[in-house]
Amino acid sequence: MELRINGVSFAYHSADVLKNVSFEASSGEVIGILGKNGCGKTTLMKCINAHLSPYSGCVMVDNDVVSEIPRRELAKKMAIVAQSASLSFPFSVLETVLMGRYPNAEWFQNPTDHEMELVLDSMKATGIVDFAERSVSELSGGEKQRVLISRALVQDPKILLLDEPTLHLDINHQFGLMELIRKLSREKGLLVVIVTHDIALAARYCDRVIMIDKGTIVASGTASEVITKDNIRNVFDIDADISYDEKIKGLNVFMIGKS
Amino acid sequence: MSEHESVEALNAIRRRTLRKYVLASAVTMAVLVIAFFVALKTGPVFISFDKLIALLLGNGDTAEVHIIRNIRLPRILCCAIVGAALSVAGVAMQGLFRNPMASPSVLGVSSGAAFGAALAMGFGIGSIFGSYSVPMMAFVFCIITTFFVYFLARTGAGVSVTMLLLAGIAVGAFFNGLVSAIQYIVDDNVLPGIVYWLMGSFSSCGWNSFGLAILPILTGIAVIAFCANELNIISLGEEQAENLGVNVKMTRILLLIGTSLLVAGSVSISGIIGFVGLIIPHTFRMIVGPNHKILIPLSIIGGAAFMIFMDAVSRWIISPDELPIGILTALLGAPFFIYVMRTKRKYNMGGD
Amino acid sequence: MNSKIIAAGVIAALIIAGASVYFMSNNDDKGWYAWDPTVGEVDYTKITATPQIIDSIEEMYQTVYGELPSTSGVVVPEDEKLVYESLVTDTAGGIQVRSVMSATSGNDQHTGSVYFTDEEIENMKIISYSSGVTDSYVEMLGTDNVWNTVVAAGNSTWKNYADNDMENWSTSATGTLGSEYTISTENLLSYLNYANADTNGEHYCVVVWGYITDYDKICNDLSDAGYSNVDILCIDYYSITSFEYLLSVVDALGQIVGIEPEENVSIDDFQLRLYVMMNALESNTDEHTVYLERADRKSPGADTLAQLCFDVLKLENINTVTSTTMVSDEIVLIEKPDVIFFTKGDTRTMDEKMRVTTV
Repeated sequence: MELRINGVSFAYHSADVLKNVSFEASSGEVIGILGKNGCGKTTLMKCINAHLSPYSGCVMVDNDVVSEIPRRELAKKMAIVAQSASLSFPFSVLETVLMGRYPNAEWFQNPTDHEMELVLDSMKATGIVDFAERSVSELSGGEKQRVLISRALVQDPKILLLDEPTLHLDINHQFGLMELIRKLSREKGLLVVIVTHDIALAARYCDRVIMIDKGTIVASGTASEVITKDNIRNVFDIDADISYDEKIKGLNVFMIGKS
Repeated sequence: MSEHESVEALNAIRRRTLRKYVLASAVTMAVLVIAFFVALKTGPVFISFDKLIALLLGNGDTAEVHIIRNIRLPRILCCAIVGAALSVAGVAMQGLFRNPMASPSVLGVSSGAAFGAALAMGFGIGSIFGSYSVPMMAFVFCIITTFFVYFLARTGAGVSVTMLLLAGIAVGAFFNGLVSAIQYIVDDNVLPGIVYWLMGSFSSCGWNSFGLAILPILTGIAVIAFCANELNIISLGEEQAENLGVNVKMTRILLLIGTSLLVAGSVSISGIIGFVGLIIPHTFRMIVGPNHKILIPLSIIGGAAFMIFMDAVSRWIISPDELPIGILTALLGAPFFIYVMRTKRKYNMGGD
Repeated sequence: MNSKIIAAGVIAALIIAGASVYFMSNNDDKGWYAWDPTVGEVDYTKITATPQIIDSIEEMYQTVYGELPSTSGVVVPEDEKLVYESLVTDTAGGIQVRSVMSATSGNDQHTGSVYFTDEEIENMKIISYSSGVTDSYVEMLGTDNVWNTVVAAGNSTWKNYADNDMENWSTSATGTLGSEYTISTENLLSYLNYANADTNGEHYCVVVWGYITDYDKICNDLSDAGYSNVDILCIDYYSITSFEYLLSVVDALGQIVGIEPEENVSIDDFQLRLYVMMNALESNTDEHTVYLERADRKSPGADTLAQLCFDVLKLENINTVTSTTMVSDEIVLIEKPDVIFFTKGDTRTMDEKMRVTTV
């Protein structure tokens, strides 16, 4: 499965938020989109899942333009955990996660055993199985986040979009999530696009990184190509020390301070 | 290894929930049956309880049989379908607008129906419908108003619920004004009829009313019930719903059509009855939660029971005179609603 | 399990549909025609405390008993006439009229007297705040002459009489005086100003029927504005519960404009027409039950003007409660009234009214 972002430009009213953004991704890759708050990352995500329509360029999944794919079909292929999603009604966790089967479910049928396996696996992976009967409105922010992620996984998508997924999570759940993402991409070929402003996280877990500043791509490539002292200083105004760490077999980013 | 970590365990959870729902349904159904017999017994003519079943089957004094089978029974059935209809319409509106204060009247459709009825009663418009001119005019105008509100709410960016709400309120106010104007103009002979109709009552509901209303009401309930899954997801937010593959636009249209049919069918036979669409869904939401797959059936049964019971009270409280039921639902409904609202805060919608 | 629930729902719906078809097709309904009652129509707006009520009684008489007894050549024996107490007492040089305003919550019942001199009576102009008052004057003076005496009126009069000669005065007058339920002092003063009431030598009597919220204030406003020739007379409409009192009121209204009781054709006419009917029915031993239904399905009960009509016609009202209430279809079915009246202007079809179709 190929995800292609071709020259996407988007503007809110007259102000350009995204200018001619292009990149590609294939199954099994974890792509990090890195940038400061307000640089257009979330807008880019919304263009990828056809929530917003770019005024120029398009987003394609294999040979289809996403805005032309019927919603339900798109939801079978692509799942998103948006930053702004809220779970404000007292559905149980299990009910909420099961909503992820909506695009695939037969009309008014009970979930099949296969579907329940999916649900179980995704809930185990996000560590929320114990919450199955609890009402979502009673959960903490991080727990709700994990419910949303679980629901997205239950969609059994080929492409997973995550917008700031680690924002509310405890450290150990952050690691848990990222390990899960890596595992899913390696084992199932899941294509993951993560929007984050956590440089260290991007450095460590993303195969490729796209760095965005003021709506344009300023750097694109592997993690070590993009996450450099210069790029970090230019985009984030931060001095950082970057080294390859044998223990984690990945980049270690150490923030020194404002430049 | 926690106790939940197996598919069987998860299925067991689902079964537990289902049992809870079945229990709630059974209890509500029992209440419905009780309400049915209480209502059958209530009336200015005394008929003892033990005769009721026999009379239903046609055995007994002719006048009493006629009273039971042709006056009370159809009336009770009309109460049931209208109660169910208004409750389900309330569920739909609250889901659509994601707001617990939403009720069918928010779309202005009941005002449109009132206008249609007033035209028929005041000026004889709609006489092609013969005896059915008032209910048919109410029905037709209900549907017209829905389309009117929908198209008024359409902007370049599509139809948002905020626009629907604003359009509904504006259109509702407009038709209310027209109805008041009609009341002012018409003859003193005609005015009481219009005023009475506006207060809502089942006193003129017989088998013909039932036949008239049953089709649009059943259709409306079906349309909305089939959207139960979508309603669940939409209630979390339209963006989320779209991300999960819900065709929000189509669902919205279906909900509007369903609500329109339900309100039109109800108003055409019973006039304007308020509050039911607000109280019933909310009460059940507090008891069984927000899942529309149980909320809708319970609203049907509970709404029917509630209306049957209210109508019986309206026939009993100042017997042999009748209190128009719209007055009763407002007077009893509002305080009850406030009480439930205050004691079960945490189940309110939008808890976050 | 989901599809089972749907199946259950569909079956339930089919059962309901089937049951209703069964009941509907077993419906032999002839409605209220089943006991073959006499059905008639009455103009309910005429069942008011004005002489026009006799029209309604005659309408009902004709429905139940056939042709009206003739009034030609009939003289009402003195002892058969209705005796009424006069609201008017003679004074030196004029009359004193009892003014009684209905009590409303918050207002005390206003009772008092209004004095008119003979000269004022000769130049009397009536400002009518009630269609009932206007109706009474129309009966007394005839539609050709009445608009010289009744010179301004409230909304109901405009609605009811606009097509008559009133047209001439309606275009030259400044507009209606507003609703009868609250006197708009502004409208009243506006009319008086238009008519140059303070200098034209006429005397005005504002006749109020029902209640006004601040009698004293309006009187003060009038005198402050310089109108010393305007009186306000109150007739307690709600006390008119007998024909006798009705005649007292008609008499008083007549005397204000100079019609003596003996010359009051309205009163004579009323007495005569009532007498011939009561006389014709004196030997009548039939007992008919009656039910009158308005457009709002309410029925006048035991203490209403309609009841007075029924009493004259020896009809027993099946609605025995006091005031106007709704009578349940069930009771009508049990009582099977011999006579059923509906009201003019009821837009329901006959089938609907007689419960053949019930929608």
